[in-house]
Order: sequence, then structure tokens, then C-alpha cells
Amino acid sequence: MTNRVALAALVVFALLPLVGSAGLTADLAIYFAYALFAVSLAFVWGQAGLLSLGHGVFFGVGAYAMSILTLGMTPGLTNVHSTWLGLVGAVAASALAAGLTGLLCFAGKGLAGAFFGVVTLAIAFIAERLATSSTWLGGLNGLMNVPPITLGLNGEGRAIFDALPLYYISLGILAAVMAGLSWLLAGRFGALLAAIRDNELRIWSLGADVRRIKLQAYMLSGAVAGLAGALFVTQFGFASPSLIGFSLSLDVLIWVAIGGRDSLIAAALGAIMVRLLESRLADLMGPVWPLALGLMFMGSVIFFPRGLFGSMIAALERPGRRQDS
Amino acid sequence: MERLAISLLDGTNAVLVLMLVSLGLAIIFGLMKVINMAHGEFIMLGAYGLMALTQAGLPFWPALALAPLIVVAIGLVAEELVIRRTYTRLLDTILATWGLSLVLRQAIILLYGPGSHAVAAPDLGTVALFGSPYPAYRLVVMGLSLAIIAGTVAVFFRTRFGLAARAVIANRDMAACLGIDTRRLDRFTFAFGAGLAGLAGAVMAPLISIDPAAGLGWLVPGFLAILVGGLGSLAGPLAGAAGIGGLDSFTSTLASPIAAQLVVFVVAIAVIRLRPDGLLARRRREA
Amino acid sequence: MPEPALIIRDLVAGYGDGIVLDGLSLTVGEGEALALLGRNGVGKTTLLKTIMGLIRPKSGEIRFRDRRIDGHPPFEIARTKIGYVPQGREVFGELTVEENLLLGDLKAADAALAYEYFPALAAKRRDPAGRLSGGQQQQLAIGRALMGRPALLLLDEPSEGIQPSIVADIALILGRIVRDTGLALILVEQNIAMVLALCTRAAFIDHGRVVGEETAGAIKADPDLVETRLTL
Repeated sequence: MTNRVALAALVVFALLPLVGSAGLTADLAIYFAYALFAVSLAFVWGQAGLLSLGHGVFFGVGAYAMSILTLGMTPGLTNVHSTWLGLVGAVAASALAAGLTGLLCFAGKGLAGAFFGVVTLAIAFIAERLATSSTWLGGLNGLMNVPPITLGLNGEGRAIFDALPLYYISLGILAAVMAGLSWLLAGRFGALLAAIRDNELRIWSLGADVRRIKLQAYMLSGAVAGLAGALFVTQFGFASPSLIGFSLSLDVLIWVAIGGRDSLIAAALGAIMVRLLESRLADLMGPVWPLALGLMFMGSVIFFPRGLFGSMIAALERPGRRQDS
Repeated sequence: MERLAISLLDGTNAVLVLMLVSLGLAIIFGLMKVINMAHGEFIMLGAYGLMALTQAGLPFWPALALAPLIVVAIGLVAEELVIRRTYTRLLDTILATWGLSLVLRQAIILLYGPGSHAVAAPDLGTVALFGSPYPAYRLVVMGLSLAIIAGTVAVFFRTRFGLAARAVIANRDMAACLGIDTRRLDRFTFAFGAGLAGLAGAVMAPLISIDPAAGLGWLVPGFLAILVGGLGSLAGPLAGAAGIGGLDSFTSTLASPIAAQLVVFVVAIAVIRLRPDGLLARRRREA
Repeated sequence: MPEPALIIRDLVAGYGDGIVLDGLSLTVGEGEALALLGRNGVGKTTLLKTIMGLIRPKSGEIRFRDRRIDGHPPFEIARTKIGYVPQGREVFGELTVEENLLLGDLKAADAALAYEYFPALAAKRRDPAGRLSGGQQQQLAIGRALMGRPALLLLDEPSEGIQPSIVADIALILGRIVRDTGLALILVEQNIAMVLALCTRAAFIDHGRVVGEETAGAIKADPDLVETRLTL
């Protein structure tokens, strides 16, 4: 059912620019990057049961890596401006960051789920402080004038500014990554992750190395988040410490909680929906908007643990049949 | 020499307040298995409460006594509306309290704006210590913190209520079978933890910059202190807070606050990796 | 037949979605000592836990002194004067003997009531309960339940893991307690000697139901009776 919903959503979004405004198209192009970020969290949380409260770190690392590589700031490689290298670098850097975090947290007895979350939060906190105090990274203002996606091998060639091609590129990347992750989850890796999420004791008997699998899942999630960050920064134009820290980590958590943690498509739709609502309502409601969002978040955790889209998908699955918790 | 003495005193101050924070967090977690991500906001509410009461005309000391009670009330409401509905799902209580933290922060911003505020300390003059004047209020803060910590320990180990709490922490089901109303104890405990946080915030208010986001600066060190010290006893969080707080003050003075955060984090993680149950965890003797 | 104290009717209960008790009915009279016999896994412990409120029944009724107690939380059931000594004792290892006992009655001035029946505990009142031997912990667990002055005591495998001489001592003390206080007793036990020392009646449990009853006298007269009943 989730695959069918995802496919339907893809068709809808593919056709949307034909009827939507140019502004909507431009906005959605960026929201797809956020959606990709949400997917990375849903993957590691909903599927593997690892609640990462500081996931913004990987998005930010990807954004900063992309910026550094395309701005020609790479130490020793100052004539590198390549979008392609930037993407590779972003994914690698964030996967590495996730790997280090994972080694820290999963090794030995491993940190119990709840405290794992707090440690990831602490990392996000510190990472933001470090980014703010680093002059090389632009301090509080961050790195500006990050070039857009440029098709040439090293920053020359056609630059993509227009909303419509950016829209389809973002959507394409989002769809491709989701398809890839879904394929992974449908196979043995997904079964192992589910076993870890539900009951680790059982998995020892399957002969699998729990720590290694958690690490792999976490690094994959970090890589996807980094890709999202890179994609974001090419459209947004600058990378700042707020991308690496605590408030974006909280944002993505809210999107996935409200959308639904159990499936990638629910999380993606959650991100898009919340951002759309925010862009329309935030100005209207002023400072009341964050409060309303917080209440929605709390409400969804307490009353709709499957999330809005998650609940809808579950209802579509077997109408009338009660799901077991 | 004087600067060192002052730094030591300030450091001790910070450690004692962190102890208050960690104690509240540990008690709530130990008894209810709830990770209260809104603990930092409870601290800030204590500070804002003091500010509001003094602005309304109340003299400082009555305001100091009243502000934590405001936070206790908020804590009771939160326990009923948020915690009670999620505490069968452990990870979701983290999210629910994280959401509560956001809501409380935003509520403060709505009432007082996003900027920072200040409250004046009562004019108690200075005390000559190690040859230089030290603000007497800071000494009062230290004394109050010590008293509260001692009082909490006394309640836990010398009262029947504390005995019941220790039993619930050790074996909730068995305690219930002995007639202990664990639900009511939960409510009490959460309110007590909130009150401890509110008191910490109110007492610190004249010494810090009161802004909505400041609470987070206490949450993370508070949890690290618990992880480092261990949750097996009350001594664990206190020892952890002493270690973390001390290291933080020390590095902060020697290098910089940002270096301090980094060092504290790295050391904390190293300790947790080496001793996952915390430094003071007792080896469990199976009955 | 004494006044019924505990009446269980068609009780259905289990863990999660599973069913362990499958329409169990049982009556225990005031001051009566009833043994529950059965192979492992038939639902004896589940029954005690359900009476105590640790497990919520799916259907059926439990009445104690004419008040329904099914579905109530454990602390309320404890307060209706039902005491519980679980399998494995579950003493609070980090607390002292005296603290354990006082938890049985937080309003009590002291633990004299328990020490009267278990004088060996008085000597160890300040020791952490975790340091006691198995037999002493069993005495502690019973003493703790006794502090609440129960009208009905649920005992789950008290002789498990304890050497026979201590078991005999405990049986004697329990006998005294029953005679002195008139409390009713439900005893889950494999040790037939203990059963015969304390109980007047035995109910046989199989597949989550009561499949038969015998008096203690009948069992004493025919030692093979229990074996026969259990293998049917």
C-alpha cells in the first residue's frame, strides 16, 4: 500500500507544475530537499528504531561540504568548483560523520535508545556552536553565494537557476532515493532492521552483528541527509550554522512525527505539508505559529503516533480492520 | 591568586546548580522512566516566574519562594496531559516532552518576546573572601542549593515517602502489590522534579541572562551528568554533576566556553563508553 | 463450608493476545487454606497475578468479600487486604530488612508484627535484603506481606530453591500465622509435604481451568492421587 501511495504521490507531483503557480513550483523544489531529509530520519527511526534527536548535523555537514567544494574553498584544491564533486563530498562527509557518531554510540554495550537520542542532541548542540565560532566556515552568517547546480564537470557549463528544472531535479532525486531505500527495506536488510527495532534479543539468534547493522543504517541515513543538505544549499544559496544544529533537528523530528514515522512516503509528505502550511500561515499567525506547530507535534505524538499520513495509509490498507499496536 | 579563588567559587556555584538540575532529572527518570526533555524549560520558567513576580511588585524573597510553586503547578498539568498518556511508550515520552519543551519555549516568547531579560539581585553587599569582595548573593545561592540537595537526600532516605519512592524505583510492580499508589507517586515525583528545576532557575535568575532558549544549555549537561555518574543511586547524578560542572568551569576559565563544551562532551562520552552504567554504578548483586 | 471470601467465575486472562486462563472458576472460603496444583505453565502463577491485578482479565469476574476486584490496579487490591508473595520472592535487594518490612505497611510504627513470627529477621534488620539467604528472603517476603494484615494471602512456590529443613520451618510458621490470624491462603506449590501441612483442600489446574478438587485428607490417604490427577 505504501508503494502505491508513493507512486500516486509521484504522479501528482510530476503533474503539479502544469497547474500550479511558479512560486509554488519554486517552493516545492526546496521542500523536496526537506522531504529527503525527513526520509533519512524516518529510515533510521521508523525502520531501525534509532531516535536521532540531532539529525540536523548530517544535513548541515552535507550543506557545508557542498558549499566548501563548490565555492573553491577546499584547502589545497581551490580550483575545484564541481557540483558533482560537491555532491559526492557531501554524501561522503555526512556518512563519515554518521559513522563516527555511530561508533561512539553503538560500540560496547551501546547506548539505550533514550540516551542515544540525548547524545545525538548534544552533538548537534556542539556542532552548531563550533560552526558559529569558526571563521573559516563563515561564523554566524555562514557561507554565502553558494553556486547553483552546474552541469559541467568543474563548475563551468549550464547553471540551473529556473524553478521548473530544479523542481524536477529535486523530485527526481527524492523519488530515486526513496525507491532505493524501499528496495533495501523490502529485502534482508529491512528484515534485520525490523528485528532490531522490535526486539534485539531475537536478532542475536539470526547470527547478525547488531552493532554493524545499526552502524550501516545510521551511515546510510546520514548520507541521505547529507545529500538533502547539498541539494538544499544549491537552491538556497547559503549554508549557515542553523542548518547543522538544534532547531533544524527539531523541525525534521516534527515533520516525521506529524507525517508518520512508519513509512518513508508518510515522512516525506509530512515534511512537505508542514512547510507548505508554514509558508502560508506563519506570516498570518506571527509568533503564534511556532506554538501551534508545537501543539500539533505534541498532539500527534500523544494521539496519533502513526502520524497523519501514516494513519491514512494504515486505514487504506485494510479498511475496518484494527491494526495491532 | 584572587582570580583563582573567585573562579573556584563561581565554579562551585555552577556545580551546585547543575547538581540540582541533575537530581531532578534523575529522580523523574528513576521513578517514572521518563526522560523529561522539558526540564530546561522548567528551569527557565522558574527564572521567568521570579521576574514576573518581582515585576508585579513582590519583594525578592517571597518571589523566590513562590516562583518554584508556579513551575510545580505547570509540571502537574504537564504530567496529567502529556506524560500520563505516553509513558507506556518510552521513546514517545521523549518526543512528547520534547514537544512540551517547544510549546513552553514558544509560550514564553509570546509572553515576553525572544530577547533576553535581567533581574536584579537583592542588594546583600559583598563578603571579603580571599582578600577580594565576593557578592553575598552568590553565597546565598550556594547555601540554598546545598540545603535543597541535602533536604532531598533526607526525604529519600529518612521518610516513609522516600522509602516508597525507592521501592517503586527498584521494582514498580512489587511496590504496587504492597499497596503503594504508584500513579500518585508519579505525579508527586514529576511535580517535585519540576519544582527542583524551577527553584534552580529562580535562584539563578539574577545571575544569568534570562532568555527563552537558555534552558537547553542546562538540559544537555544535566543528562550527561546522569549518564556519567550513573543512575543506581542518588549519589550518581550528584557525582556526575560535580565532575561535568567542575570540568566545564575549569576549561571555560582556562580556555573558552566553547572549548569547555567540547571537552566536557568528549570526556563524558569517553566515560560512558568505558563504563556504560556510569561511574558510580554498583555491581548488581542478584538476590 | 466457611463464608466464601474469594469467588472467581469464568476467568479468561493471558499475556498480550495469548490466553492462559480459559474460563477458570474457583471459590476460597474465609480462613480456608487452598492449594493449587498443576504442571508448569498451566496458569497457576497467571491466576495469582490476575487476582493481584498485575494482569487485566479479558473476561470473567473476581469478587473478594462481595466486591468486584477484577480490572482494578494492584495497589487497590492490596488495600482490600489481599497479600502477595510472588515466585522468586522479589524482595528489594538494596533496601534493608526492616525497610522491606515497613513497606508492607508504611503507616506502621515498627515491624514488630513480622518479627514476632520471624525472629531470625530481627537480628538482621539492618542488613540489605540482597545479602540474605534464600530461606531468609522467603521469610522476609512473607513477613512483608503479613505487615499489611491480609485477609487473603497468595503464595507462589515458597519452597522453590530452599533447603527442606528451612521449608519445614517456614511451613510451621505459616501454620501459626493462619491459626492466629484466621487469614485465607492460596498456595501454589510443588512440595506436597508443605501442601499437606497447611492446606485443607487442593484444586488441580490444567489448560487454564480447574479440572478437579480433592481434600487434604484424601491426598494423605492416597499419595499417588496427585500424580494421577496431574497426568490425566
